[in-house]
Amino acid sequence: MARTPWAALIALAALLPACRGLITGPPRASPAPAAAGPGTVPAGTAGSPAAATFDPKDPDAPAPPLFACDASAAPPELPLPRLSRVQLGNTLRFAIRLAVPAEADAIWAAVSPRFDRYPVDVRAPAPGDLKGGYSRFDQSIQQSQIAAVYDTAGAIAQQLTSTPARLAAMMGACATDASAANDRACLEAFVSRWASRVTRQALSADDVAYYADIAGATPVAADAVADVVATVLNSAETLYRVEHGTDDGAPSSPLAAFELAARLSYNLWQEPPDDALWAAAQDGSLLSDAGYEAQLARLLASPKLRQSIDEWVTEWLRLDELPPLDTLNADPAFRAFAGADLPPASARDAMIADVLGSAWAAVASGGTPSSFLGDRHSYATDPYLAGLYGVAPWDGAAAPPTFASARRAGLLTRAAFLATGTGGTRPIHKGYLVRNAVLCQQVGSPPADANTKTPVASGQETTRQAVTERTSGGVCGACHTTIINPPGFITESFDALGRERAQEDLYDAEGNLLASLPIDTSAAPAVEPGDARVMSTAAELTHAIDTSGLFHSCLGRHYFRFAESRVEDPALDGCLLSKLEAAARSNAALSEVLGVVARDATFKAKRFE
Amino acid sequence: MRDHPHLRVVDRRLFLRGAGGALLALPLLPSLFRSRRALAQAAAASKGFVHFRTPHGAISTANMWPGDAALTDKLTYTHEVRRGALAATSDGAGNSVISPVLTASASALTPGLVAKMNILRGLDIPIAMAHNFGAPLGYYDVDHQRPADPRATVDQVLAYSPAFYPSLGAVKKRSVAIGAPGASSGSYGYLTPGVRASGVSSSANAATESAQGLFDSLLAGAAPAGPTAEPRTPVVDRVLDSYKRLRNGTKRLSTADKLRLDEHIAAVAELQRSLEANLASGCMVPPRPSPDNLSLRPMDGVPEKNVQFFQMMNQIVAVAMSCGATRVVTFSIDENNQALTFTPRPAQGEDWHNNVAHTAAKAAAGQDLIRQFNQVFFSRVYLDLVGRLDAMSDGMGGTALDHSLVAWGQECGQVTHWAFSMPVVMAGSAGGALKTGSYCDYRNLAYRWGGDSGTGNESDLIWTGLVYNQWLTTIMLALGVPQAEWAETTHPGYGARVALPPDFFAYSPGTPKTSDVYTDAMWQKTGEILPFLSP
Repeated sequence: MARTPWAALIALAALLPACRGLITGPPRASPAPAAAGPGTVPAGTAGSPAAATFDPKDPDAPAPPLFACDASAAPPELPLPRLSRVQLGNTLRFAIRLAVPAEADAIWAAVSPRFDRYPVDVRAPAPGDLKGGYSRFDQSIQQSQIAAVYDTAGAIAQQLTSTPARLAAMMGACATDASAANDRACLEAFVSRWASRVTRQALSADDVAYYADIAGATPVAADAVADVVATVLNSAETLYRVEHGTDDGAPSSPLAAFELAARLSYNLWQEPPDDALWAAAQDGSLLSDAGYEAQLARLLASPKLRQSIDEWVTEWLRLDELPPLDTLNADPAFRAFAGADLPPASARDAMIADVLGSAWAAVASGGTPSSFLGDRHSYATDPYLAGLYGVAPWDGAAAPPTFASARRAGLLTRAAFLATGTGGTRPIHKGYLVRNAVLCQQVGSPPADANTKTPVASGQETTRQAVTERTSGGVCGACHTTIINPPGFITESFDALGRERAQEDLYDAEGNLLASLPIDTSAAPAVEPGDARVMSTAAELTHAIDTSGLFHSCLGRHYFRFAESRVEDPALDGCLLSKLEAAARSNAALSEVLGVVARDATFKAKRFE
Repeated sequence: MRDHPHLRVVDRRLFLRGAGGALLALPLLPSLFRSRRALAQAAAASKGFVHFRTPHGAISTANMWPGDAALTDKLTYTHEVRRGALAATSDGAGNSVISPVLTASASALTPGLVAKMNILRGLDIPIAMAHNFGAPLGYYDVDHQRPADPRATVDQVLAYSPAFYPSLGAVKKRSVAIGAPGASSGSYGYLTPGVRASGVSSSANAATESAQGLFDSLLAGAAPAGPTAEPRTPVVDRVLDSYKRLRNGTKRLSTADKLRLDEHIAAVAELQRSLEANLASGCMVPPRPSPDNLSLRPMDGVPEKNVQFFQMMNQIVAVAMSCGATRVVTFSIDENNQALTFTPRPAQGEDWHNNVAHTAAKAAAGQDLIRQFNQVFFSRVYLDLVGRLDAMSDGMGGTALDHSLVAWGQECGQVTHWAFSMPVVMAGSAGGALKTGSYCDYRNLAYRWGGDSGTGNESDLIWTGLVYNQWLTTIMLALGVPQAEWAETTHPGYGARVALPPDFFAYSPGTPKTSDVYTDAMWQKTGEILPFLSP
């Protein structure tokens, strides 16, 4: 009876594309990485078993760089980038605020239910990296987007023109005075002022006339102005980053000042250029090195950067995979496990906010990639999570408290990395997260018929033992024994709520304690291929990850994806990737690492071929 | 196709349904029809397609299918296939029972309705598929990744087929994808909708799961606005013009930029068309649902709320289809992304998949939860919509269901991760294009294979069958979409010709080659309607 399933496993083992018992990882840097076409597995992450790079005589030496620059390579250009859902929402709010600032919030509240229908950007897998995609990758043009933005724009237009007071606020007194002689000029002035900001371009006289003509014979009538507003909000220049460049003859053309301003502001702030950036584009100073640096520094130092950081870190570290923690609160076994720490509904958001708080603290206070990885401060503002950390809730202003326990070693021991929503830990998930998201190492997908049932501890064995029993044999063991499970085992000194523990308490379905078994956290995580060191604490693991430089390279890779809204092609993008990697590995301030993209020559030009 | 004003009158007057499920069937007015041909055209024009996709599959043989004794007829096709009359028995407790999963209240699963259904067993997608959202509709995504050879899903080919939509007069949306926002809807179209040469989009069509959203996009504004004193040019015309101005202007754009602008222009043109569409004046539109079904959340582990969540959308869908506001609807149901299981056991993220679906091949507790999930879905969600459509008179002695094809497909077959014997439940004959009332079993009993490495009993009950592509072909042909709109070069059926490795079955009884199991002769049959289903 068991013959056919085993036969299937044997057959499938021969098919496994990636995991052969070795981390498929970074090749040593070469002057010109092997070419990889769009859609291929990113070089340096998967495809071939990695050679051992670890030197036991110098265990803190960094791994070789993953990326190399080929100066002759031409990076691909994302055609006509569509604003992400977040960026579009910010743009519409900007348009409202620019028109009627005093009532902007009320107007947005009135129209936002319509914008809620705008489709959510879907995170597609990166080729070869199932969970390495970003919602910004979603560049699809969909009927439902067009319908939703049309509906929203119409509602905004109606709101902005709904009263003479709003018309006057938006266009000036000329819109509501008794004279009809100034109506056309009034409308043209409004278009020139408002539409140029919303569409992020310098409107020519023809452009202004084109939009003003929409109003027809009654230029300042409410319905006429509403038509103009709605058309502008639906225009390609509003919904996309339309870039024409400044040199019609060159394959790669420098961007115009307003185009560059838009790239900067959407990339870093997720919104249109503010007044200062707009002014720098208008007066041309943005095109000077000094002017550009001044604006870039301002943007990187602004709290407005946080929206981007939150989105990037959430998707990079897959914080949205954290399940609700309170769903099993009525379950007797879970109640017994949680004890006095039964999680409130807010626990999940609090845990995610804690990680985002750490990332933002690093960016805003000159922190580095290493300090983010090893940050031992609690950013928990709610009593529940702060209680798990053994600290007082953070007030959001003063210096955040330091974790009570030295064993809580930083990012990998934040509750969001440990909690599962059940009474049991998930070493496999934790290990995969470390391997894949923190180190950017690919282990391939499990065979399609793998039994992926989560191993659950029983009264006789710990979670670790159950995981080991389940995954050590056959085709599973090749990946799990040495690659996936070890980093997850090392943090088994924390339970499924993120609390420290000395033993694993096991309960039956009625919540009766079955056993308290000792925890074993020793494992050889092989952060770098060839590293056989056995570790048993999160601090050791964090140190190994930090000194390997692989976290830093991974951070650079992921910021590239987020900033460029596409998957990297190491052969063509090697120059920017290697700059990001070098900056991250030098432990430059995180804000400086982020600035690498904006300082790159490719950021300031558009390829037309 | 030319308009037929007299037929439009039929649409307005005869496809009616009141709010809250009240039936308002007007009598047949034969004087409205000028000829039998016109009647046939009206029927063809009103065909509808609805597809439900549920997660994981994993329904055991015993829970999904009637006993083998029900298979009374045999036919030699590419191999011997079987059928029997589909029948439900009473369980003595007020339920009609086809199988443990296909069980519903006797008032819902009536003999008449059973006669309008088919259940199809033994349809395989011969690749190691694991997880997917689009596969039941023809986008064979392996483990949620982009297929090597992607195809648009049948719903999107239907949506832009001039044969399926010969007239768009009342069509507010060519297709509707229902599912969790942010997750794949499983519905994939072409980059430029309807233009096969533009390539298959890598993004699924965005989904909605708001009953209010559905109402607003399909049924709102049923009464056409009266003429205004000084009608202004519609803004959508202005918007379309602004895109053309940019696209065709003198400012520099890359070729790729222009292609994307073309995509957007096509979408604005479609918006322009839909804004001009008016629902039939006789269409009985229910009140806008309030509060929205989204307000039922949190609902994980609360089956009654799960059911209500979908029934609120079913009501909108049924009315919209009967009014011609749309004719293509897909539901992508996912316990993880939507946090619902139709059972008291919550999904809890991926727990359901890991601890229920994967145990279902052998663990009684897991299989029982799978049975509950699917039985409640079948009886309270699937049959709810089927019943609503069957309660709507078509004015010609039949019902809206008779002109439709309402199918239920699953992510996997009886063992999760595997795409052998993907179950299909269907109702409606697509205007008489399909014969109904059958339990069809297309398995080839000469080839048995095992599945889940958990070595559960269910793994030993897997036989290979016909390829799933033939079911997709059956959908297209039944709904009147000519092969020219979806023809393949490697086989006459719908979709990509996929293949397991040559020696995949090497250890199965008889050690067949994959090419012995899925033969060329079988692939050459994929252009036909499935056995037993041709009228």
